[in-house]
Amino acid sequence: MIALLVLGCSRGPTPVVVVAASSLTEAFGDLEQAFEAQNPGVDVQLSFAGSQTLATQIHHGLPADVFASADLEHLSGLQAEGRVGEPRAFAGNALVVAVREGHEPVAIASLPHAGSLVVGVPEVPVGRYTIALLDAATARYGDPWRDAVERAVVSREGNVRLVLAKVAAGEADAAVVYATDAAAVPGVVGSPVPADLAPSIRYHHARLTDSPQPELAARWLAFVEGPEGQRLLAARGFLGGE
Amino acid sequence: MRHLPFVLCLGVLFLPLAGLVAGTSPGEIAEALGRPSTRAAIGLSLSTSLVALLIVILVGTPAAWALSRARGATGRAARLAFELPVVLPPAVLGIALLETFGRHGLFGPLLALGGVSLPFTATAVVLTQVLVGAPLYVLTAATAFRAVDDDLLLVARTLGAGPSRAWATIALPCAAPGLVAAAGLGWARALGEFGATLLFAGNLEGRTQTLPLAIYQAFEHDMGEARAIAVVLVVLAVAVLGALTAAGAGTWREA
Repeated sequence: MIALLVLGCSRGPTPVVVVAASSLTEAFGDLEQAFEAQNPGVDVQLSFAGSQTLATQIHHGLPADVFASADLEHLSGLQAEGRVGEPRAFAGNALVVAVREGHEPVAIASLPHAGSLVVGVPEVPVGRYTIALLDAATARYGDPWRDAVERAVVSREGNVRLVLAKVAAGEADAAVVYATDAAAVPGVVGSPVPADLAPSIRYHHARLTDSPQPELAARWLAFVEGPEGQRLLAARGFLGGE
Repeated sequence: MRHLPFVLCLGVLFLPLAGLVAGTSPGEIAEALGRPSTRAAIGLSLSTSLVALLIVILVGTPAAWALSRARGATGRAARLAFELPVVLPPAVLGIALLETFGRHGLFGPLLALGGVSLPFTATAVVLTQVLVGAPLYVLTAATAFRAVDDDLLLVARTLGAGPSRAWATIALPCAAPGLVAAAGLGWARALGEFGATLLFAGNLEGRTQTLPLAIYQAFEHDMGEARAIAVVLVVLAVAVLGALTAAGAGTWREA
């Protein structure tokens, strides 16, 4: 019965399942189109969520071919348990403080006075990067600044798009998100954070060890790292992975 | 043989619970209970859901009585109005709450005039719980009230009791076991609320992170912690259900 189903499916396009960090939503949409144009008969199926959500799902046996995480840590954990192959860096990003379009941009120093603030949960990469940013800024602006920032936090969300959605909807005043998200989501603008406070943000990807389409998965990884993939990522504001 | 369907049904219902409890070590539960985040979630879940229950009972009981006495097309329309929120998915309710009470919602500007902002507050948690708990309470309580014999009320009135006294001394005690069951259902629904709370109230430890939200967040980094909090939630639910059942049995004897 299962063999029949597999045979039945094999007549359609071959699916390759890529699960990826929420912040890659638009960029991977572009890459999907380009990859499918180059590889007729292949159907890239994309699924986006917080990297920690995807890592948990893969840990529990989510069937997929490729996992692209907004950090290295979630892949390293899965690699240690033999669920994914060697992770490789393929893109970088930066943090910004996002506000609604038409509102005053917020600098890090004035973060406590920005009104209500939304950040990621500490488990999601953007949340951990935010903590790194705040830790670095605390060394400069002092503990009272940090206390005021923590008091301004009204919610911690499970992925970067949920963080930004609260500002886009106008329910919160400011959010710490990736530069690419502020650029991709309409109605919000981001102010960059000072380079010397910014944590290093490196996206990594890897093939799942039980990938049903190992060859296509490898081809996708190479495509993302290749000139065409890097060009499309850069067009969406991502930095190089080096 | 006669009991087989009953046993099967019970087995299906309890198997996941048994799996949950069997997979959780006492050490994990002790560790979870030691975490300030878990304790804050327990306190918040209990306080918000009990405040919500109080509001639901105060507002819902007269509404349930009116619903139980409503006849014809009006009665059917009223019942439908209470059934609609029960079938609405939580995500729909969460969006609806933001569009109504959010900063840019229907009443947002009006609330802002009074210096009130509901999203991301414990009040938002309670409001969400009231909205999911009230319809269940009202529908169940109305069923209990429907069994109250109008003749009994009439007799009380002929003996000189005013309408509210007749209601309080006849209708309320007669329906009490049903009302207690209704309260249990409404409270359980409020305690378990997750989706709409996440959208409308956000997720902040100690302020809006209820037990279901704490389980969801823990699930993504520590299955043991998620398991332990889930067991705590089961124990709380069983305790309150047990207390309500005992209270229901008590009212039954009095009635």
